[in-house]
Amino acid sequence: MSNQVARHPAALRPRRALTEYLRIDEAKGRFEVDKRAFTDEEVFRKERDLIFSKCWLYIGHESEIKNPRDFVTRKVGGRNLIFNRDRKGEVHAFYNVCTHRGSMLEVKTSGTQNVFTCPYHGWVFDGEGTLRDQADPVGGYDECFNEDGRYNLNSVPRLENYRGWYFVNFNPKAVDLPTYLGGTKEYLDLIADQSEAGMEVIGGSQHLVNGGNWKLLTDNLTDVYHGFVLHSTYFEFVLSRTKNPKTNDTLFQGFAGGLGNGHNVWENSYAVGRPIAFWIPAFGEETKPIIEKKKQELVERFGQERADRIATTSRNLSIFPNMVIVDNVGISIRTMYPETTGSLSMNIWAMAPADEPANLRNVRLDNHLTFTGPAGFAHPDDYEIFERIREGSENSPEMWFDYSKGMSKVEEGADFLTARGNIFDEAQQRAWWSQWDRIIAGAETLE
Amino acid sequence: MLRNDELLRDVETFILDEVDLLDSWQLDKWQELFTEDGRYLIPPLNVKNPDTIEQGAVVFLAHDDIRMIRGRVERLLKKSAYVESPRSNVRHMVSNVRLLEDDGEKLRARATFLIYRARRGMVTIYVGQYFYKLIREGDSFRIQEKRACLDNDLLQPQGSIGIIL
Repeated sequence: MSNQVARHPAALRPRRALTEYLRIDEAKGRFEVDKRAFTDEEVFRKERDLIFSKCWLYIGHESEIKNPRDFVTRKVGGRNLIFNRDRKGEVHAFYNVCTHRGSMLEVKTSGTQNVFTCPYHGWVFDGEGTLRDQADPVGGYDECFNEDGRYNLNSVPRLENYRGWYFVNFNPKAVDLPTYLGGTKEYLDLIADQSEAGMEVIGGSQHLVNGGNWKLLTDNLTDVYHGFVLHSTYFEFVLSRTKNPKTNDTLFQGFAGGLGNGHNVWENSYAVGRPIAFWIPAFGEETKPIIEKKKQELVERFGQERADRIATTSRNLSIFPNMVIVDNVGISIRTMYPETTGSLSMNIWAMAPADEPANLRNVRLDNHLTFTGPAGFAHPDDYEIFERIREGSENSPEMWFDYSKGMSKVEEGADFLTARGNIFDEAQQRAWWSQWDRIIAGAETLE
Repeated sequence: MLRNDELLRDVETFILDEVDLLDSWQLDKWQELFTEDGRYLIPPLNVKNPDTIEQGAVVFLAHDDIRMIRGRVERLLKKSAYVESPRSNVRHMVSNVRLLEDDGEKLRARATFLIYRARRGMVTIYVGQYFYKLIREGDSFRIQEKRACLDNDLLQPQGSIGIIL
């Protein structure tokens, strides 16, 4: 008993589960989530109402609508939206629905155009959402019909951006985006600062559907522990290619933990090669001077210490509830949403400095697709596992998913939302689930 | 489009032999069909010119040089490549083979594919066009480029391309 007290000092702030789906036993060092959190229709509805209607959700990056009149359409939190830049350069997010009879207004996924026209009765809306025409040669509408703007496109209640990443919120009373992002801003800065020319999203985004619950992905993408086990074939390939004598579990050194509000991160200080700005022979001799020059620029802009952090460390940032940015050899952004309890939809975008030379860009993209691509050497095995988890747990009687690794090692005074641990432990996942628990319980409204 | 029925039959036979190696999981033999500068490519979905587009402005689904092709085969033959361990039931169907260009040494051909993958009650269909760059070698060919352009506009139901198309 005294042993356990020593491992779990009383100085730790009280931590307890708020919903029936979470079970915490400090004395035994256990942190568990009921499998019903992955399978229950009731949870699915609560997530829709309390998470996907209250949290800030990523809609897109400014580079995707770089010029006036550019637009993309995408589904965010179950709503079909238009994310566009009007002719004056102002950025908007509208519900993608004609205000006349409810047809989806724009079905193309991206483009550049002055107006959005509904093919049904010819209602025309400009990039600012204003109703411009109703194909009405006989003057059937009263002059004051749209005086109050009632028939203009509906904007989502909130649209804000941090350094080019745009987020929407369907709750008009939500806290502002910078407050919500909190501790993640430091990590977004580490990416945004990589190029003075700005960062850009690269075309050919990947969109896929998988037969698992969406939270399997938020768990998986922040999880280093599984990496060197499930993805041994990937690391064996990388190590053979770089003739690295190390074993795959030595490729990670660093911490993982919560950043508040359910956000979390792991940062790897084991230096893998990075087009920004740490050269390794596998990148090819011709890229060496470019990368070294890039590093020098970073040192001039930010000083040695920050330049080193940007250039040589890699990180995985999870922004609650459903956005993950991987800043490794390449940079990728992902979002994942539930379609049903047992099916998820994921988008993957690759990101890079806008001014990156072609040969470096190729090194970056090849790395991106080799690991994270749907046809890569790692992710297909994850997708297979998500389905095995669904098949394994949906009809089993009682089942608790375990997130206890490193429970006894967290620093004194920390709570689950901000606790840090070893990169191979699960403090980051406990941070995510603690926020999920608070929100589902109604204790955190994000207002 | 070229009309040369004899050559067409040779190319068609070559492609059918090639996908037979994939269906029978003789991946070691399959990789030997590629030249040292050979490439196996899957362009992204939903692009206008998948037969000619190059990586850079867009990110591909697969962008393999010969080292990556060998790495992909080596990986898939391991028991720890769980997406295909145990193996799914896979069948490649190839039709509509057309000759596009022939300069006497190299030739380009196009074909339609339909690939069926069944796994634990779930079926995935991959459909699209192959574009081949072939080089004559003896009385057969070697592959300089195999490009599988998918017509699927969304990857589902598993979301992966765990097999070789």
